Amino acid sequence: MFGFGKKKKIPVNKDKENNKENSKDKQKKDNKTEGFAISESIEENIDLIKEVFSDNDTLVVRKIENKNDSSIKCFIVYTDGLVNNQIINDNIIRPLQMTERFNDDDSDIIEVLMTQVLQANETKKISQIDEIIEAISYGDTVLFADGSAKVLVLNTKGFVLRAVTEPESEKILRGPREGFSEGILTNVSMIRRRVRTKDLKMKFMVFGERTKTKACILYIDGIVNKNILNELMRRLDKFNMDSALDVNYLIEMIKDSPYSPFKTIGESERPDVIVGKMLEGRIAIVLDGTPCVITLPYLFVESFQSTEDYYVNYYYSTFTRLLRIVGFFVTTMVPALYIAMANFHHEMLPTPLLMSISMARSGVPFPTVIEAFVMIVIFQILAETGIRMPSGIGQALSIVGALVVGQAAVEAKLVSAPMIIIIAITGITGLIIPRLASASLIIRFVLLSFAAFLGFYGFMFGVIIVLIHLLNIRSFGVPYLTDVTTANFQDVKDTFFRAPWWKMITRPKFIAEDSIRMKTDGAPKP
Amino acid sequence: MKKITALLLILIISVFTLTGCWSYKEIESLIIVSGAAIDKSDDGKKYHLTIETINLSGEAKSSQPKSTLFEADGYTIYDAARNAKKMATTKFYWSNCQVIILSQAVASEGIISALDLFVRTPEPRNTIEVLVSRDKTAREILTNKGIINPIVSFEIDKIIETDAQFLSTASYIDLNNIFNTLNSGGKSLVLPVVQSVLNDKSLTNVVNGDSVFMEDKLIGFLTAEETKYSIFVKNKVKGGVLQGQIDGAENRYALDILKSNTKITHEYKNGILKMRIDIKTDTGIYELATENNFLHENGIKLLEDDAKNNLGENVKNVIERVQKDYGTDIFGFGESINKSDRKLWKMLEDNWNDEFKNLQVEVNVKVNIKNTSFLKSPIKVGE
Repeated sequence: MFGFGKKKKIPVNKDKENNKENSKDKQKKDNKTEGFAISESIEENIDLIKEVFSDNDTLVVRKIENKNDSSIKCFIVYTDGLVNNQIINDNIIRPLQMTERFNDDDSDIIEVLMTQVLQANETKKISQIDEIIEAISYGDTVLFADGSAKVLVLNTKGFVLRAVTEPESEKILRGPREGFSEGILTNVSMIRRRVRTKDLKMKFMVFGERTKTKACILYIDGIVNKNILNELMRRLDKFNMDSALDVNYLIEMIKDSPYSPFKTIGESERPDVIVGKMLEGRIAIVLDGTPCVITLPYLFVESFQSTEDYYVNYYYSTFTRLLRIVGFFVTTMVPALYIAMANFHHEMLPTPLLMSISMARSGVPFPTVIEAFVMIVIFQILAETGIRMPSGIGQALSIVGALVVGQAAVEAKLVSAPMIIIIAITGITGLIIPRLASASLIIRFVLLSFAAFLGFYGFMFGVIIVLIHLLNIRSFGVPYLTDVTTANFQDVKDTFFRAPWWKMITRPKFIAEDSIRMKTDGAPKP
Repeated sequence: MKKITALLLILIISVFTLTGCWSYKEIESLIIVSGAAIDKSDDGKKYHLTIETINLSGEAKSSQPKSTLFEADGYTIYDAARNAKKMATTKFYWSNCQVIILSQAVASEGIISALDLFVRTPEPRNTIEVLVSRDKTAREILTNKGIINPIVSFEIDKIIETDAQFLSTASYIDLNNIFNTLNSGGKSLVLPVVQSVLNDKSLTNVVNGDSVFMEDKLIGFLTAEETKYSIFVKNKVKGGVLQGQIDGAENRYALDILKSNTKITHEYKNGILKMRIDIKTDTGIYELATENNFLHENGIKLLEDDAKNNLGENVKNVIERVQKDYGTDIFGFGESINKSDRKLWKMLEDNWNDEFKNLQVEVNVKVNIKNTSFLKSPIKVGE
């Protein structure tokens, strides 16, 4: 049901199929750009570009001739809107037109232009049409020179990006306010700025046959576990979708236990979180076009950890972390426990509670189980509406949600008041742990169904199923419940509680290659 | 995958359609029993069972739940309970039953046959409190009005539960204890007594002393005061009042028991068994209804001596009365011998009731006054 036994390696014949598809794709791609080769003639190249970018009116093709030496003819191609016009005007067109003397020694004209004329910081000599298309689509300017079959790519990117703001989904009270935005370079720079050693490695990759989305794999050499890195590369190589608009495209394609509702790859929009995780030996992947950065391997306890835990007093963060753990149990189990007690094991209820539930239930037409299912769904509808609706009509929703569902339904005897309380508790505690939201919704329904059949017996049955599943999951070879199922202090130091920083001597087990974080016991000795 | 989806669908659909599965029962359909009274029927052949249930219908929010009585006859309690079901919408739910009241007739006949059902079946809890009604029938108790809690059984249960803390005039014995005591041999059973009393112009219930059993049959009663001293012997006193007077009625005092400890030791010489009871009680002065000042060294000594003599006398009296009138070891002397000298107990066991009647008792009491509350001197007029 949750992908038991899905850890098995992909069967060989499937592998072959993948390869076939890959080769087919390659053939297709080749067909598309086949015959498009850059010639040395400038006119031919213009025609070529116009053909390749046919029906694309944003393309700008501009011819340039040097006023002193008419033999120097070239043209530049770029996409309007993606480039910084000032750079093109001042640093590309002007030097090309005005340059007086060339150091003419029969060398490659492109080389000469690159080294002596053009004032662009980042240049690249290429000759493949695919690369040219990609460069033009990404805000670079491509320069064709007469007499050269090579072209020059000049960095003139100037598209508008969202400013660096605090991430809406991960607000904190104390800590850095910076959040990732949609530009990959901005995002990588935010990470780079925090780790100023040569050990920070950044490898760029491209995903998506059609979108050619850039991604950057970051890790800290010396800490990262090479086996995990190799496994990641192996899985990334198999990515064969046509697009990767968000990291979730990547996550679902490379995730362990693909049918499990539990996350086995972490996400964050905060650079400090990502760097913190990288310093524990995790690998980060930044994808262009999304502010979400993923880290892996991902353990179950990470769902309960918040950035703020590490920025405030450890007693306080231990307390809040325990609250989150309790919240997870409450949000998944309370409806099922209520059903089990109210419908099967009445003797578990103290007399006054039995009486008050009984009184509240009298006159309600639906069985408690259906009440529970319907109310959970209604809560989810309200929550979903809250996210999707335009913010202007938020008040109407809260009135409908609070008054109609909460009060009027109870007074009309459609729902019993205890059920409203149960669902409210379930819903609120579910919000403490947003990273487990989807998993807890499913567990909640599973436990509820089991409890509705067999009472506490069924409930325990469901709990055991979930536990077995959790124990089965691996994230890139690391057991999902690592650090939860031991009693060693250094292992559990950052799980149910958060130990003071000077006690966190080692990095998490299995993940980091170099597991010693501190050479000596860091306890302050004033 | 298809199979799993199908299975999941079946599971989910059947949750909505087959909700009447294994012991699934909506909570509001239960008839919750709060207590029961067991009498003999008019012809004396059957039991007459009165079941007090909690009536949860009506306006749920405003009013407190009321109790409703079901009555039926039957040859056994189970028979009677099922006969009562003829009037009820569903079978009774016994898990919240807290009190069983036995009439004197039932109790004298033997309580085991009346209580067997409650221990044997799964629903009733072993913490049910059993009482003996001093009234003509046990049913009357349930028809009386509760003062704080409209459900009489719950009120009676609460009264006995808190009695130990403030009065120590009734034993708190639940079903579990009853059967343990009956099994043990070295100790006879007592059960608290409940009776009707007129309060604020209506009849209500009062818990008043213990009833004394020979094996499982009722043979007599102890007054509330006697019960208190018997509880002293049993070392179960947690609170209560010691009162007395010094040189006449104008010097009355009341001591509150803070802590009490009793040790029972025995001496067996030449075939004569002698029990030695050492009671050590810490008290505080809570009332001095006098103008004379006792709050000095000698005065307090006077109070302590008087309280000590009173307590010793009373304890002796109650033991003598039980020995003489009932001849059954409600104090657990046999049990204490069994614990400290098993050989001796083996010897005495068979003839214990006779031994008990004849054993000698020595009572040593020590009363300490630990505090005098807020006042340092007596309240006087015009000074």
